[in-house]
Amino acid sequence: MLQRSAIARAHLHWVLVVDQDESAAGSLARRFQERGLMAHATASGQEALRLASLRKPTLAIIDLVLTDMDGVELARRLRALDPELAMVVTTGDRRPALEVEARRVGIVHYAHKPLDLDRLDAVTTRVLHSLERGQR
Amino acid sequence: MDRPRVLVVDDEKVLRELLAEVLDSWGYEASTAGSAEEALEALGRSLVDAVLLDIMMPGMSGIDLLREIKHRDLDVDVVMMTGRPTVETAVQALKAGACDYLEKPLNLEVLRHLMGAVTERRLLRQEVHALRARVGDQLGAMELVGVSDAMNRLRDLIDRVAGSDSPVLIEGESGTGKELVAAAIHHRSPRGRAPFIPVNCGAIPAELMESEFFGHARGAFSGAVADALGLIRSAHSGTIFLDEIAELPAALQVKLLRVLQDKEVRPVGAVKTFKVEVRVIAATNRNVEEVVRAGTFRQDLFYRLNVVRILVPPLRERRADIPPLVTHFLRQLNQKLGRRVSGVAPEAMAALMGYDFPGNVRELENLLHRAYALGAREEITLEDLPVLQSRPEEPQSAGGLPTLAAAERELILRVLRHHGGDKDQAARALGISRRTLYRRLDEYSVS
Repeated sequence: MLQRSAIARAHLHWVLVVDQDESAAGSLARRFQERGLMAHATASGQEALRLASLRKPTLAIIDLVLTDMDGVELARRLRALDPELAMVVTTGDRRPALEVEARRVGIVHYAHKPLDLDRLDAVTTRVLHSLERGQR
Repeated sequence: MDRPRVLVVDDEKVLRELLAEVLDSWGYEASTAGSAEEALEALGRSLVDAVLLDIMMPGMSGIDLLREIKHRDLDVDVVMMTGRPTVETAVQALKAGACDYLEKPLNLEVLRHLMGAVTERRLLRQEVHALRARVGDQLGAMELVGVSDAMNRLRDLIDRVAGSDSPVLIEGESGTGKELVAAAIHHRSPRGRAPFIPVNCGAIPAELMESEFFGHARGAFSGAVADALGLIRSAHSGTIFLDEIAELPAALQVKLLRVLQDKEVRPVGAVKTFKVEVRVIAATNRNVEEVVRAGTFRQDLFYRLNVVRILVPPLRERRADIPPLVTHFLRQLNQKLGRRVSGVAPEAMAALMGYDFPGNVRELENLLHRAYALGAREEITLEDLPVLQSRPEEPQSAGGLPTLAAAERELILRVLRHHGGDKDQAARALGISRRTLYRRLDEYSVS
């Protein structure tokens, strides 16, 4: 469960969801919206970068496979835009080498699909919490 | 393409002016300086791509000036000129970082060719840098910028520590660049090609910590649909960087200690253990001794990590690093945003030098980034750095009279209304520039 305060701060925070599977990205984004957070879904890494440069996201959920670039590449570019952005990398691919590549970017969670939504909620709560404590 | 900027330094006025003219006709943007002092002043004010420097000058010698220039900005290319060439001076100049060497009297064809080559190399370097950043070797591509004694000591320490393979504990306020230091140690170590895995211990939720750190076996819990390596096994043969180590919960501290001692991990839900070979670099912005004394951090783990200790000093204790850092960030921002800001105005630099930077180097970078966003053009002025304008918070009016700021606001808004919202006309009527008007409106949050 997300904290109530998250709802009050909805206008300040937003979650970026990027996945080649547009409907998966959309339903994940809706899940955040239902919990009172702004969220945008896209299948394109370029579009994700454009959105993130307009306003810094609070959290980015990035799948390894996107329509126009590789998810790790997007994670690296987002990292360059914001050294403190919290990122989760998701994948349906179980090869361990991919996990190493993703973790090199500095992520808070690596998740295999189908996603464990409780774990994703825990990440979101933690991110909002540490922002509130002014830790970032 | 932008015109490359070249500074010509020669005490002979006729020669430096001639050179500037010639360079100008070749498509360079040339400026001149007649002495070492003038040259340093010019370089402090604006970014240049290359310097054409006479070796024999009264006062500070050309070689000393060369060293000083390279000290402040490693990225500038310096070509030396001399009337009396000797092998020794040539060697000395190249050793001090000159990129080439020309004999006087100058052969203009040779000079033209050389400047062309210098510019081309420069473009290549920028491309390599951009490419590296793209392939994610970002931290590797970043250097530790700074000329202060503290920074030189830090670089020495990093070089000495890199080869030793022992754990390192980095202390420093937030924004001082602890991760850069950790990455520098990793890249200079024999592990340099293996993974560098950065972890912000404060960002991982407690309930996920164990499986994020040690991985999990398939089926270990309901969401564990596949085996996961976890952070420590991902860093195998490389370095794991544990930032905000003081945020690690007690239960995980015990487990991490065991990993360091036994060099093996057992993933959540797994029967067997896996050997791991990882160097640990930890960092904190708190005083670890205090955290240990308070009982929230295990003493045995602290001893394990505290083999080598590195303190990254806050920016306000190494103010000499501010100008070279500014130069560094301007280059980066110009490249990233496709702009051509050439420097910082003296009063803005003075304000930067006098500021305390509670957010350290990261705050400096953010301030400059904001200045670009505010529309800084040729030069960053004090106006582009609103944080540094010591403006008292909304002063109270005395005896029912409005404050100057309130009166100004009222006047500006009234004139604007009078001109039906036409900002050009309003600015003209007020006798201020359009830019100033926009800035004021921005301050009043009126668009």
